[in-house]
Amino acid sequence: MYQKKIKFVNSILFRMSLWVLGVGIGGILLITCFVRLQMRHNIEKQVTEEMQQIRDNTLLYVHQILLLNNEVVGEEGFEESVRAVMQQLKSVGYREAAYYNLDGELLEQSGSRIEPGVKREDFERAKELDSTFTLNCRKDSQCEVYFTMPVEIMGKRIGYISYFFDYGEQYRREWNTFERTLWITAVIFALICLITWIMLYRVISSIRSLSSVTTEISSRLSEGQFDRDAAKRLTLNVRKDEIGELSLNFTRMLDVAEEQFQRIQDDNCRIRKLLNSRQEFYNNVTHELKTPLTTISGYAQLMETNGQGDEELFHKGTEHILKESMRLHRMVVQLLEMQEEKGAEKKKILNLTGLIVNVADTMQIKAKRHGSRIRLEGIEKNYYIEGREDKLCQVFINLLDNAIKYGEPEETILIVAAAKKGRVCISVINKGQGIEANELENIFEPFFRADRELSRELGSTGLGLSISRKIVTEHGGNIEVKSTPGEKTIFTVSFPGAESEVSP
Amino acid sequence: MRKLKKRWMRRFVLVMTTVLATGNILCGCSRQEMIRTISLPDTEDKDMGISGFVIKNIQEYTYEGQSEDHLQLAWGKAGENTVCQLRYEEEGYIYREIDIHTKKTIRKEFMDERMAFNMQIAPGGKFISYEAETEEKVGPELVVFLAEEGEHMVLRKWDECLQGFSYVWSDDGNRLFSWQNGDNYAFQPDTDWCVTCYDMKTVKRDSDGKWMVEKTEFQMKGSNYAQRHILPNADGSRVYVREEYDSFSDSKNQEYPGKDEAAEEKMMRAKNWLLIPEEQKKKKVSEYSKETVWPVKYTKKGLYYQNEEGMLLLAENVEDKPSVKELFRASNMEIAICGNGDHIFHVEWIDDMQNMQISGVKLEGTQPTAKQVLYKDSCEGVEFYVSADDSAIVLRGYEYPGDDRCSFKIMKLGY
Repeated sequence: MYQKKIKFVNSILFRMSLWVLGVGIGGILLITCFVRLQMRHNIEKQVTEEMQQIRDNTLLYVHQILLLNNEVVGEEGFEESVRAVMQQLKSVGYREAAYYNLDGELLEQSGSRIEPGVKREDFERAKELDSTFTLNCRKDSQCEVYFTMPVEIMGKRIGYISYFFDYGEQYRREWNTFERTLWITAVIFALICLITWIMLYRVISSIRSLSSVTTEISSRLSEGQFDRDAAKRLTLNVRKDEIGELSLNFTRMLDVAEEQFQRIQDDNCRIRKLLNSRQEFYNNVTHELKTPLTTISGYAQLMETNGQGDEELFHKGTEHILKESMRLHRMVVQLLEMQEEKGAEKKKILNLTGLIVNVADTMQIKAKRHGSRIRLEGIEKNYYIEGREDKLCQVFINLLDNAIKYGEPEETILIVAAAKKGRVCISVINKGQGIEANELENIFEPFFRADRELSRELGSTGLGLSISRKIVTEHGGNIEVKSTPGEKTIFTVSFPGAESEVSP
Repeated sequence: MRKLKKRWMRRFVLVMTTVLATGNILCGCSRQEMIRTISLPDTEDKDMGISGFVIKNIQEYTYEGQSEDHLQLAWGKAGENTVCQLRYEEEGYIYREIDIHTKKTIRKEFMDERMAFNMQIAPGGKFISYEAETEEKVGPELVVFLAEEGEHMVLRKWDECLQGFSYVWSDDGNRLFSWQNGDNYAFQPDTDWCVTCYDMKTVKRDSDGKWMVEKTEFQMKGSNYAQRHILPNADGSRVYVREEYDSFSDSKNQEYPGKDEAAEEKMMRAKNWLLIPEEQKKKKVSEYSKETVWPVKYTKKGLYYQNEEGMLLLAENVEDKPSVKELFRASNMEIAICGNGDHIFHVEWIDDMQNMQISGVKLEGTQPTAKQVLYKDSCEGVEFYVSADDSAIVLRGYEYPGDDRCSFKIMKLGY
């Protein structure tokens, strides 16, 4: 549901291309309008200025001619001198001209472009107002100017002159300039479009590459796998631009995600394991509780049925019930100990050597009962650690108890005390059947027993080593076991020594 | 559904806009018809004919001839409609008075058969001055031909090997001033020089029947390494004299470029005087410019001159403390100014040098008015001046219509 196929029309590339095209065409349109307006304005301005100049020149020349011919400055003088005026104006380049009196009657004409009978707007307006020109630019690049001016000398209107001028050349030049500008603009625009498109394409390609990698990774993640190889296909990190930065950040993000993913996997595994062990613990507890209860209830039923007549059964039953109920009691006590919160009692610095010697002395009696003995080594020095004496006593009692119970009779149980790198190490070594290598890792698990029958016979609850490990761990220590089946088993407990008291 | 519709509408609008815009561009590229009728704006100054100059009459005389034979044309006495003409003909230099309407010679006088040069007709046409070689052939002499009398009068002689002389007429044609030229290669650089004023109103015969004239000489102290400018006012009653040590100052400038000392040195090396012939007075005048100047006209308003950048300036109150006013740029223009100094005329060449145009500028106080075009004509060369009574511009021009013929013209534009 998170995967989406992008249509081309929705792609950034298409949209951006469309925008560039739109902006470009709009730009050209604006430029076209502007240049055309400017062109029109230029032509009008140029013609206006030139017509003003022509008007001034004409008036000057007419005035000169009238003065030279000693003519009266008036309509009659103008009519008398019109030929001379025409010659003079022709000589200065005004070849296409028509000369009218105040009634608008043609007096003289030079050239053939002005048609005398045709009424033109410029002529009508010049009669009514002032000098006027008509600019007529045609589609075939012809541009004509008809200019009519009243001849006013010394404030007196004496006639009219119409001129024709061909502005085709200027008009064509303006158009050519305009067309060239347009073409150049179009080419520049096309180039800009092309370059923009290429740049866009490159940027979009990079984004697409990133997108493809993320798609692949996400599809594999849904299968519960993190595709590291897909991330390696990202080759944009070498780029020095924003895309490179994005890619680098993405790679970093992938690394973090991978680490988190691994952690989640591990946690998941651990939780599953914990749940399993919890179930196993529950099964063990119920089983271990059930076994003595079965014995007790069995003997109780037998005693109820036959006990009053069978004294032997009564004694045996009573003995078993007592024994199993004591074991049950011990097991419950030990289970409670296992659940006990650590550090309730404050720790204090104690002489571990002295503690071991006392425990060994205590356990010596039990060892003797099993035909073995306990020997101590390395107790010349006092080793001090911080801890709770009763708990530590329990650890060493458990270890010695196990060594006595599971050791070979007539063998010496060795307790070795030593200090290594600031830690006090106490090893309990006994000779016996030992523990198989595959069982070593579970030996500290609750209710685990290498030989379930034997240990039950020996009255073991299966919680001693678990409790010992818990206590050692609570004291910041470590408990290890090494065993060679048929030869010997070594339990080593190490604690961090109290600094001032521990010898190196 | 509505969203989809909206999106399609948007796309449709976009496509249509693009199509319309493209169509507009393509249509805009095609040439289109345009018809406009525009009335010209009014001239800036409608009253120019009243407040500005008005050419009230034009008198003209033209004739065609060989250019090497033609020497000079001048207007004759006021109101007589005659022109004075100097030509070289078979018998020698001939003076004629011609009616401008009939174009007939009213009077003809033989002037000289010797080779003459630097010929000038005094304004009014009463006198013709020229230089001609003496009989002794040691140097030229300055001769004045008395047109009315048809006789000569020698004003001075000089040895051309040692010195050259120049001369100029006052605007009214009644005084002639001659002076020794400055010379950068003069043999005697420190010799004194003089300005001589000939008062032509005093021309008369002496007891021996020889023509004589009163003259006033002004001895000047200076250096021959100089450019000299002598500018009489309209009636010659006051003469401005400037001696500028051009070559020295130029070398100083090169030696100390951009240093004020050089400019100061230059100031020291230009001298100005004012001569008053009637009082036989010579007055030293303070310097007014730090750069080389080309004096144009000495008038009642002051001294007009052009600087190196072609700017026309007016130095007022030249006699006491000159103060300079900048007027307008007049480079590549020929300038004529009336004796009062309030009418300035200049000639420009227009239409690719095919035509010339005379414009006038009035000076209101020291503020020049806008330029007003007064006259246009096709002409290849022209010289012009303002009449002494400040009523007309006199133009002398020529052009070559072809066939080795030359058309000479003299005009009087009365204003």
